[in-house]
Amino acid sequence: MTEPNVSPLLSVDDLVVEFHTESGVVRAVNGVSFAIEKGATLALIGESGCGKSVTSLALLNLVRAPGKIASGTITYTGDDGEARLITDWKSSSEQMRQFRGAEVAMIFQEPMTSFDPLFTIGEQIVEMVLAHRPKTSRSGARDIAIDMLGLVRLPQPEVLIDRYPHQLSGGMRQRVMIAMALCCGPNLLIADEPTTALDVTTESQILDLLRQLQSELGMAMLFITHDLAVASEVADEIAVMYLGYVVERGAAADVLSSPSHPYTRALLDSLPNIDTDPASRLNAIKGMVPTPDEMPRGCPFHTRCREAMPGLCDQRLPELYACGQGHQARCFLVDPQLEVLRG
Amino acid sequence: MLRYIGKRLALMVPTLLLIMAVGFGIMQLPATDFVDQYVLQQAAIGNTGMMDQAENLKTQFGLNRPAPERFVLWVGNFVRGDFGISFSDLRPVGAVIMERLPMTLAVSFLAFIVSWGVGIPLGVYSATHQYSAGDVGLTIFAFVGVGIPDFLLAIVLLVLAFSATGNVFLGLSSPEFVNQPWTLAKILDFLSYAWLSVLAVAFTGTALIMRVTRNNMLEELGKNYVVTLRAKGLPERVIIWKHVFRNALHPLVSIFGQVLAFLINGFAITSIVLNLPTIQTIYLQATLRQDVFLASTILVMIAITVVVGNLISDVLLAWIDPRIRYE
Ligand SMILES: Nc1ncnc2c1ncn2[C@@H]1O[C@H](COP(=O)(O)OP(=O)(O)OP(=O)(O)O)[C@@H](O)[C@H]1O
Ligand code: SF4
Ligand SMILES: [Mg+2]
Repeated sequence: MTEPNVSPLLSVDDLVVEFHTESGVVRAVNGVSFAIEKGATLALIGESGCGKSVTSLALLNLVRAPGKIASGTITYTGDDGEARLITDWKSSSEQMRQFRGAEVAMIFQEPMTSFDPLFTIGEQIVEMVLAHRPKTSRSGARDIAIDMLGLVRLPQPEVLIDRYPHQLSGGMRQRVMIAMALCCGPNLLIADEPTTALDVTTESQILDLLRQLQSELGMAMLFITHDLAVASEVADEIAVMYLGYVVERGAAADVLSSPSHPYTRALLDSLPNIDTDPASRLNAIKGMVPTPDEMPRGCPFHTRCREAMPGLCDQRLPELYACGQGHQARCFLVDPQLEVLRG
Repeated sequence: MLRYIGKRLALMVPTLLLIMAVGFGIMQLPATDFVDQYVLQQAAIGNTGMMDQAENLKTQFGLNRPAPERFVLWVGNFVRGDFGISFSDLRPVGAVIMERLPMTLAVSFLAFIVSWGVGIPLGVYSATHQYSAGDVGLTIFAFVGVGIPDFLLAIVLLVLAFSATGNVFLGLSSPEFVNQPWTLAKILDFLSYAWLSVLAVAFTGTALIMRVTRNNMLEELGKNYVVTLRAKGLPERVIIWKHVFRNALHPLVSIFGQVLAFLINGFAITSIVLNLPTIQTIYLQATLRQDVFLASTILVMIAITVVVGNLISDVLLAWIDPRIRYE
């Protein structure tokens, strides 16, 4: 914040992740590009199966066989200002291990199953501190863990630290998850649908907490959600994914106020709204999401798009066309050459 | 926890009594008893003189008293450490068993150490290198090992060892060492025989332990918490051994409950096929000959190992898993 820094904290360029399955190669992530500025929040939005989790795992080089990063680059520029090409590191390398958790940390959808049930939450935080700061003593790491539990506004951290995951409520577990993720002071927190498994009240508490922590600690956030309303609360920028493609991206305000891709518009239409009759919401997006292994030819969305142009959309893949300042959409409708294409 | 263990130990008493009654009762079911069988056997080889002594023998062995009375008498003596006598060699049951216990334990303990000591690391390796050449090879080994019964493997090894060395490795010692005190020479002699049965039994055991370990490691490796552990930046070694392996221990601990029973009554068929001087072989003989006290005492021993083994595995599970501990 103090001095203008040209390179973003994390930049993803043309990322492709493929799964080699028995029925063929599945492209779960298809040439995704985005950047996250220091301290900013990017929301990654899309329906189930569109590749959000796979994208986020790829950022830590954690995609497991049969999947792998097929091409593209991920560049991270940390506090030292040195750009590091993460995609050059082997998944099992020591530098990759030191990067995970220390520079970029992650929290998950299921706070119950995301902990090892056999160890106290304290031990699970302590071991992470020790993995990144081997010189710290055990009791020093324990003090850090207690501080972190306090930081996420958990009552009586010194008692809680010796509890097992199954002894906590879902909301508490997610707070512990956050405390653990932040214990090594990461510059980026990846939150993969962190509130999906929680009830509405707990959800808004966790969102508040994340926002507060973000401003206290100045970290950036990649916030993954299928819920546009949640995204609109936290995001500076939004990237909408569909079938492994980024179909629209831009500043959150722009994307929400002037959505340019038919899919984004459909998502916005399906948001709960006092004016719309609940029954009509359900037909907002017709048809089923195709699975990545039956990827449609042409525009990935053409099988469900109300505005699809036969002969064009089902033949060619649209690029990301600019439709405003830093705002792009992957749709022929915003292609300045549209009239030419239509012939 | 201690209260729980105490409760379980107390529950063992009626369980064992029931097993004793059933075991003892089953031995009484045939119309004949040990003496009838013995006399018939003697008559078959021309020794008809035994016929006259039958009643005498029965009185001596107490066999002409009603079964319930004999049972109560036996149980009463049993708790005082007197297990009765073995009809077939007229020595106290305790002495007969003690004579065979060391050999039995030696073979089964070696087989146990090899099965677990080799099976667990191989299973972990196999799971962490899924679909690699090593994993495929080990999986084939596991199929073969679990598929071939150990006694069959023992026979194959016996034949192979015979054609290679000209020695027949039946039993567990050379004739000159039978009934000799344990010396270094006797131990070496024992090992020169025992390797065959240990190998046969451990082959199956290793395959089983490896398969169980691999399956559970794979199941655990697919769980969400493993992604968290990796995302935390823990070294892979810690992820595998501290977390995944510990979570994969459940079924192994359950099998561990059966290990005590295995130690004194595993590989019975192999024992008989190889004519090993183990408890398993006399247990079969005693049952066939209605050598009631010997057979029933061994049965109780096995029952105790099963019950205690289960208790141990339950305690271990609670020790490993806080969700069980704080139920
Ligand atoms: N192990 C795998 N084998 C084959 N394909 C996989 C595997 N894991 C993921 N995929 C493919 O990647 C696609 C994207 O999965 P991903 O988990 O990223 O979706 P998501 O957007 O996070 O969905 P959700 O909202 O349900 O979490 C899936 O639809 C699937 O086709
Ligand atoms: S390119 Fe065609 S099918 Fe695709 S979103 Fe735009 S209008 Fe719809
Ligand atoms: Mg997901």
